[in-house]
This record gives sequence, structure tokens and C-alpha cells, in this order.
Amino acid sequence: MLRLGLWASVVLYHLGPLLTLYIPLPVLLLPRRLRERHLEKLCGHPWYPVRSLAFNLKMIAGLCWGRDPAVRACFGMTALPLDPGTSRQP
Amino acid sequence: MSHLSYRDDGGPVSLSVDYVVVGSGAGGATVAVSLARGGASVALVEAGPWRDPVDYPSSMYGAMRDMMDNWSTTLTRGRVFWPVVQASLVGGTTVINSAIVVRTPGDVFELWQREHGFGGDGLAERVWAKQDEVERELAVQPTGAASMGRSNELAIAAAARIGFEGHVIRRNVTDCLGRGQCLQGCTSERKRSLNLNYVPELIARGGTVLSCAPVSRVLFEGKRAVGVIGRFRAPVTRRLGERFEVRARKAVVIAASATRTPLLLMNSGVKHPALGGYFRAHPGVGVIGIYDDVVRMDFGATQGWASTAFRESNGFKIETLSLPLELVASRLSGGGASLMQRIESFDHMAHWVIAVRADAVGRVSRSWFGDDPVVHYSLGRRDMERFRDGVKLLARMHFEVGAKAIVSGVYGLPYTIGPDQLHLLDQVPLEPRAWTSILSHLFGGSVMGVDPQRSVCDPMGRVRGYDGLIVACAAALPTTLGVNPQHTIMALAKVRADELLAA
Repeated sequence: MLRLGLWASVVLYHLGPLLTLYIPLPVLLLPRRLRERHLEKLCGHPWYPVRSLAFNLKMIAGLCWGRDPAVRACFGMTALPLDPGTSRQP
Repeated sequence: MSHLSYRDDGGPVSLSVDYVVVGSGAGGATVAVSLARGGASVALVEAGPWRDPVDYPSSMYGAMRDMMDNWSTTLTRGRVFWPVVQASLVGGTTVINSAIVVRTPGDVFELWQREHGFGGDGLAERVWAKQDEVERELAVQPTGAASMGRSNELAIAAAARIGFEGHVIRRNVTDCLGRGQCLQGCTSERKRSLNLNYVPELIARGGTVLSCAPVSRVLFEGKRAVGVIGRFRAPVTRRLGERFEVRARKAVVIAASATRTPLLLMNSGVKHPALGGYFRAHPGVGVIGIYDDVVRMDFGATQGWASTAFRESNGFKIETLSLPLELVASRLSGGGASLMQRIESFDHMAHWVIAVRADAVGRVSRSWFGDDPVVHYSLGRRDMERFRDGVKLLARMHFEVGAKAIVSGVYGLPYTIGPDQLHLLDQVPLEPRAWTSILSHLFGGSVMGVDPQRSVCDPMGRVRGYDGLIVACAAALPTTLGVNPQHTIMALAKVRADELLAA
């Protein structure tokens, strides 16, 4: 489910300009100004499934963005220690 | 034997004990340690890994990867896709919640008596006595002033100005440092989650803990539950390892949550018309206030203040809930430069929520793909009106204490609403798709009751039609509570343990 949601969100983001800006080009080929407009329209799209996928993408991106030490420094926050990913062993 | 975890060599693991308990959260860990205190040999089987505070992640990314059930990607199916938040590690959701301790309101027992034929004063007295025990054992105390933080202080002031009652939240936390990291697990070891007390005590009393051990099904001999089987699973790669089998001489206790317990019973071949049914929740929705002064909600108790003043009249409770930067980023609308501009106000934001005691009844079923539960759940008009009323009250609270704007996050409304635009919330859409919500407190799926058709379990949590099979978690609760359920689940688990030991 996680992978499906992630893939669907990424595909929507990259191929979505057709849906949001009526431009048949992937996001990579758009100038920054149009990329921003595309993202803005995606996040506020009237179709709930589209909006949900955009939210999903934003959530995943936000999780990575918010743990970046440079981003945290901008907000006057100390850098987070690395997530150890360990667990108790017998 | 003490702790067994993921292994992919050395052959299958086989154990025999008096009781096997599936799930190590509020219900499972409590029932397991209570049985061990009564002299029984107990094996506690947990699908997730055992993480100590030194293993806890510091970021929300790490928390979702290491602590949540399947990255918290179980979504409701219905009109909306709302996340169903549950933990998957030793200690269960007690590791990642805000450690809120609320005694079961008396009207809940009356409701159970009226609608489900059990409860009443007798059960209330037993549960409250057990809640006294839990509060002593976990050193429950009110959130201290030093760790309250500005967001909680503002909420206290707002309630006082409007004139309704609220209270500083009592928590199983000692000497809180106010680091606002409850949701990632308390690395300061101030939160007394059950992986730090009941589970180690179980081992000290001779019990066995199996972590990284998702149970695939309950074993039966005729109609008697005699154990569980499954395969160890590596926490990160999810690679399957050796098989395990735990035989229970006396009983199998399932305490795997409101979504996982019915699923496990279904996978084990248990048949009952109400299995998976009567699933209920407290869906929550929040409002962010933006202030001129610095709030810094990342300092202070994650949840330090609450009000149940509207629990009976309006069907919701109010709580503060501090969110980390990364979750606020996804909560605010828009993207790109506009989102970055909005997030610049993070230091000036306070986030408060309502949790609705919803009338909606859902259903848990098996998925065609994989082994995750499917939660069918949609809110009706009455519940959406509660959302609207709650959001209006939260907005008013923010404005009473000086917020210059609020962010409702409701689709169709302006990004911010000022004090003179409060009327806009009267026309807020009652369509669930306009809202962003999560389901945090879950109930039912294998409910207790006296009616054999409507309830999977009898009033003692015994699964109908089978011997030695008990449900001791939120799955057995037949209604919502309107308050945080952790304390009720733990007390009922203790009651279940007493009944098993006396049998």
C-alpha cells in the first residue's frame, strides 16, 4: 500500500501538468514558475483523490525535509541526532 | 528463556507456557505481567521489534519507519482516506502516545449495561480499582508547570476566558523535560511506556518475550485454542525468518489492537457474524493558531491540557497537540514557495485538536493484497457537524488569547481566517473529503456483549464458540469512550487477568 501510494503520488506529480496546467509536458521540462503553479494546483485540486495523493507526496517530502539539519537551523532548531534504526537483541 | 527475536537460522522456535499473549501494547503487556504476577508462565508475542530509548528515532521520519505499524499507511476506505495510527513495537502505542491517563467515565459503564448487557456499577468498581493500581505502578501525575510550554499555557488561558472547564492532563510521565517528543518515543526516559516497566518485569518473573514475531494464526484442537504460530520478520527488510510456535496450556489472549485482533481471528478461521464489525473511533481534527508572539510548540509537553466539558453535550473533547516541524509542513495547504512562506510562521503557531466521539460504525476486513487490515469507515452528517462545532470552538479559543489568524486546513476555506471572519466557519463544508483527519483511538472489531449475534466475545472477553481464547484489548470495547482509552484498556486487561487466574 505504501509503495503503491508513493508511486502513484510521484507519477501524478511528474505527469500531472496535463491535469493542472493543460500542458502535455512532464514536470522536469517546466520552468520553475510553472512547476510551482503545478504543485499549488495539485495540492488544491477539486478531485479528492488527486488532492490526497498530493498530500501523500507532501507528507513524505516533508518528513525528509524537516529532519535536514540546514532546514532546522533556519528555524533555530538544533540538528536531530541520526535515527539509530536499532533494536534490542536477545 | 527471556527474549527471542528475529532469527533466520537455528531451526524453528517452540515453546510451551500457561498463557500466550499476542500483542504487547496497553492491553497485552498489562495482561501478561498480571498473569505472571499470579504465578503463571507467560509468553508475550509482539509483531514489532523491541526498541529501548537508546534505539528511539529522533525524527518523525524515523518514528514512522521504526515505530508505526506499516509506516502508518493503513488508510480508511470509504469516502475518505484518513490514516489509522497505530504502533508496532514492544510496548505498542504506549511508546508513541502522549501518555494520557483518564479514568473511565461512569456513563460508559451505564451505556455498556444499557446497550450491551454488561457493565454497570459492578464492573465500574472493578475497573476503577485497577486504575488505582495502574496509576500507582506508573507514577501517574499531572503535567508539571515547568514542562507545560507556551501552547498549553495559551489553551489554559483561552478556556478560562471563554469560561469552560479544562484540566492539566495527567500522564504516566515523571519529571517531563518538555522536549515535545512524545510521538517519537521519549528518549529522556521520562515517559513510563510499557516496554520500560511491565515487559521487563514479565521477563524478571520468568516470562518470555518474542519480538519481531507476527502471529499468522491461532492453533486449535477442536474448539480449544492451544497456541499460536508465525514466522519471525526482520524489522527493516521485512524478510521472513524461522518459524515459531508457542503452545498455551491454559489460554491464548489476543491483544493486538482494534484492527489486528479481528484480522488475526479471521485468519485463524474464527467464524462469527460480528467479527470485524462495530469498529469505532475518535477521529481528530486540529486548528493552528498563528500568534504575534513566539509560541515554539516544539517546547513543552506534547499534550499538556485537555477539556471534556463538551464530551456529553457536543460529543467531542479538546486537547492541545504540539506537532513537529515536518508534520506541520504537510498540514499547511499549498506547495512550493507559498508553502515555504507559510511555514516561516512555525515559531508562532499553536496546534489544538478536537477528538470526536463519533457515531459512525465501521468494519475491519481482510485485504486481498498482503496481510494488512482494511478499515471501512465513513463519518455521517452528525459527526461532521461535531467537526464543525469543534473547529469553531478551537478557532474562538485561539482568537480569545490573541491569535491574529487561524489555519483550519478545511478545503474550500481561505488559508487563514482572521478574528473578523469567524462566521466563515458556519458555512464550513460538511463533506468529509474537505477535511484532513486521523483516526487515533480505535475501538471494536471483536466486541464484548451478552447478545451472541452482535458480540464476538462474552462480557469476560471470551470468544464465543471457542475455549481458551480471550480478547483483551481495544477490540473488545463495544463503544467509544469519549476520553483517551489507554487507562480503560489497561484496567480491563487487569480484570481479564484476574478472571483467568481464578478460572
